[in-house]
Amino acid sequence: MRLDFAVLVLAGAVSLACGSSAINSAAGGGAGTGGAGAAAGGASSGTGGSLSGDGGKAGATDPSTPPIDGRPERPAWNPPIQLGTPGWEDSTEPLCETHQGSTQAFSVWADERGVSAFFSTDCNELAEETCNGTRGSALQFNDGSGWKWLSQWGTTVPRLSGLPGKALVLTGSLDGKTGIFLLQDGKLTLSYPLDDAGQAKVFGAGPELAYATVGSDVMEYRAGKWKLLQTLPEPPLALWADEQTLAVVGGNQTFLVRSGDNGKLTQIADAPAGAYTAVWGFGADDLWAGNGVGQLVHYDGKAWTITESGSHDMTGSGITALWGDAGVVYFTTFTEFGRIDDKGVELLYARDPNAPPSEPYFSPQSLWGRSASEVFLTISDERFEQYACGSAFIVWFDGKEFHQF
Amino acid sequence: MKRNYGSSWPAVAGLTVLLIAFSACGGRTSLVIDADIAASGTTSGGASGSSANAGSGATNAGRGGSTAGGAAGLGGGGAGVAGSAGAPNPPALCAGPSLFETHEVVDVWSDPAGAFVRIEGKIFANAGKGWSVLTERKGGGVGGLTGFALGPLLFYGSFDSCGINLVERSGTSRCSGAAEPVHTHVVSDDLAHAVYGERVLVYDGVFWTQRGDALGANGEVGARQVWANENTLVVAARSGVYVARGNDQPVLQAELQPSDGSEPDFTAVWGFSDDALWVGNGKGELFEFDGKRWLRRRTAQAGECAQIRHLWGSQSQLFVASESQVFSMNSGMPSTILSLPCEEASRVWGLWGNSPQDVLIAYETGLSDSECGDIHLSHYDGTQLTPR
Repeated sequence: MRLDFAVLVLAGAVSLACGSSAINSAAGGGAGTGGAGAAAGGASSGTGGSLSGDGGKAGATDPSTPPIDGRPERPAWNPPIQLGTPGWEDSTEPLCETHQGSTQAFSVWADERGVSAFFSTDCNELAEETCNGTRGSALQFNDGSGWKWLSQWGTTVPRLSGLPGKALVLTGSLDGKTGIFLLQDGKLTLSYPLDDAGQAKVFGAGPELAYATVGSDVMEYRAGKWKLLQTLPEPPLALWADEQTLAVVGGNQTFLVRSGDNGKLTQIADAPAGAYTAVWGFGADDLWAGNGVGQLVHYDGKAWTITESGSHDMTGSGITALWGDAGVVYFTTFTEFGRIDDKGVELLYARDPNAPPSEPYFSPQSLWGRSASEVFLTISDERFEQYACGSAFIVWFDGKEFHQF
Repeated sequence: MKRNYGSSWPAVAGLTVLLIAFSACGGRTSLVIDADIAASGTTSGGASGSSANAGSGATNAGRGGSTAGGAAGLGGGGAGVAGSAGAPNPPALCAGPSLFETHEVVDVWSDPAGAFVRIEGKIFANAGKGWSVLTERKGGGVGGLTGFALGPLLFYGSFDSCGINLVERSGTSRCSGAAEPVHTHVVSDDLAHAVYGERVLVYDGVFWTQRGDALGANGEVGARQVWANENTLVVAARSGVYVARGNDQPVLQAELQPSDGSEPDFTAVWGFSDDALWVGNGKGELFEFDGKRWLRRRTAQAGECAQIRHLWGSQSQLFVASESQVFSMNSGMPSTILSLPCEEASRVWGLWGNSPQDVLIAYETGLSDSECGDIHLSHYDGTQLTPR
């Protein structure tokens, strides 16, 4: 079922409701998704696909359209993963991100309405990065018919998540305002202002239910209001929730669970030692966490199991993300992507651990899915930084093979 | 003068220091003898050099000339080693040229089946047939090496990947724990402890988990070492000494808090039983718990190398390693075993044994002119110190 999230796109304007300023999205022609035509100004023609198809409004400082991408045409992508038939549903043109500079965020989130991708760059001029004035952030959405440019912001490292079936959630600083933003029906609302969004993370458990970690605080969003649930001894690193259960994990063996609407987050006894960097669950008696040394830790409500993921990631990232469905849990490290199910662990992509650090990285950035056979993965492929659309790629995994879209 | 004697153990006379480095470099064994380097030394005596060359007290850390009394050091005992000809020729362990100007982690551990030395990310093993590299990991800025008697080793610290590794004697290893302890202590096959920051971890033979609550607020404890038996656990920490009985939460020992409000700075711990516990601190002080109270057994020492780095004991005999000395406590009096100059390039790194007559000491001399680096291992048999 495809709901009406596209209205948000086609409405053509995203306004910042909590304040006087308005943020315009890719109004009208801005959403030239997948259009085969040249980018605005002719700068980014060809395979990257133009997202600024109207050709008339493009400009690095115009928030309604993607910045002009003056980099050379992107050559054919030859990733170190086996690609199947390109495209996703009816979307055939690959994602193109025209902001340049160092990637600060490349997040994906999806629900039954489609897939959203948030991309953010910064430019380190001291390191003589050439960004051509195109640093910034952009949100794109694909409902199965192609990527549509929603908007761009001057921003600092926001994160993307969402309330299933309802608003998208952005955390960070957008155009001078900082906090947790909800994007719904074309309006961007500062839902919960913060002095410093820092490492704030939000997990949407339902259309009207979400949890956030802000520093050491754990917040609950219910029926439009945020409230402080609990302040932890130290900032956690990840959270997961459904309508009944909230799990929060972090360093120093932190593995907290809260069941039901009331009560406190409580440390699960005898959690194996380590720093937990990612968490996913199917209920209070079926929780998975990834730790800082690449292990997958399972709690069945009574006992713990540790499974080696097979990671040989040499960056020391540990498990960076988990997402699961139907008994399958997918995971990423900075240089790997894999899954675990009742048949065991499988690395679906892994950088050669003996590759020299100077070799460009092909690194998973973010992970989300709609089912065990429809998992989305954003990837930074550094070999393509100097080409149009840059290093940002997105693929989906159908359980057997990857597809670029 | 430097001569390479291969795997032979020559008798050494005169002003000679044996610098026998661990040799496991591709199966090659080497014994490097630096002679006459004690020329600047002032060592007097070489008292414990009970070997035929005992008189060559000048071999005792003559480089720095700081060995008080020339009690032992590398010289007295070392010469004795050379004198013990006739024993099988143990291959020397060569750790390879020093890759770094300063070392971060060197440790030693042994059981009746073998001796093991960790130098940074490498473990060298000797089960009686010579030294070889058992395993290697990247990273490892803190941590150390210990093991289960006749079982796997615990190779722990801040590695690039797993923090607590179980290494079998065959060299295969697996990740045992994801935390990054600064120290671990094994009690039995299914009981070990580890510490870092303000946390105590316990190993039950399967998992490492946190033992009780944190000892204090984040950043305010600074645990350094842990010792335990089946009933008692002791943690030496920057903030003091913590003791737990049974499953109780460790309790800060108020008696050991400095009355002047200065930082307790406890650095080492060992125990012989529930009621025979020893701790040492950064000033070189030693305290003994006799079952009723803590008693000061050694006063603060002058100098920058006073810090107690390791305590180890057996059969009620305590061995103590400071930055620059190793001594045993006999009837309350220290008896020097090894003495190094108090200088940046010299340092006692590790101390472990199987009995009072079978003690290993890993130390750094700063003499890295050999291809085997500047880390050395010596064996103490109760009377003599023998390079190994």
